[in-house]
Amino acid sequence: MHHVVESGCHQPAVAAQWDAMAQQLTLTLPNEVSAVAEAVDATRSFCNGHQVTAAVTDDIALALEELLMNVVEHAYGDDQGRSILLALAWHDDTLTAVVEDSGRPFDPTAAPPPDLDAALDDRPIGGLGVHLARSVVDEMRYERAGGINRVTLSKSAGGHRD
Amino acid sequence: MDIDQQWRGDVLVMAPKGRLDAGSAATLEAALLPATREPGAKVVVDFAGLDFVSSAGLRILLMAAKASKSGNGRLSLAALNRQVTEVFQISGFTALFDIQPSCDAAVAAIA
Repeated sequence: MHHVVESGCHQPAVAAQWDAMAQQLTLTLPNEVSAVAEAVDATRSFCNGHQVTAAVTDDIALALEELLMNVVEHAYGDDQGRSILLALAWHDDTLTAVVEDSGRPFDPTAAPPPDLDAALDDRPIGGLGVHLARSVVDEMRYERAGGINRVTLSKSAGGHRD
Repeated sequence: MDIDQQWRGDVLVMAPKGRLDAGSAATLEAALLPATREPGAKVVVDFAGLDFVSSAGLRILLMAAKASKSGNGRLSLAALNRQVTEVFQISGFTALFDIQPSCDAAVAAIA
């Protein structure tokens, strides 16, 4: 049983689909910064609904903001109106999130790590997002198939609840 | 994002509230970067009211640190919470900034 709700009355709209049987929330968002903020807010609400601790919720929100922003900024070049899929599911005290885009191939699990020991003058502006995302989740996988980038990440609640 | 600003002697204290993320980073950029670009400026960013930071926020803080250094100014960060501390450690930012436990300590460190 699916039903579709449009979140808010402003554009761009993030479309949400909740599958109660599978405990899965699927969001389809346009490749725009404001839509990323909406999707991350929806993710925080999803975590709250499962009594996830604030610390784990922050880690999940951080990882997804970084991955979604990376897609918005790089996957589609200057193409407007392209979409990103985010699916969240909760099983066995572990959140699984899937991010899909149909932009240029990019494997965040293979991106070279930033030089964290560089002096202030040598530190580039940017380039930390993927490193942060990888660091705060338990697992991150990448597949490219049928013109789709699919990143799957998981994060255990660790048995510690608020 | 709301940012309280006040002068403590010749030190400008900025206190951003809430989440410093992709949606709010531009607001801090507009307030903090002009302040740190002033030659010799002394600036404290008080994080006591800051709940969360992402790489969009780190970007602004790194730009502020570079601007402050090139203008021979001083920049100190105060009262980082658990999440901000974690992100600073993962990013190697703890070595790049003067970090103080409280706003008072940060003001005293650079006044």
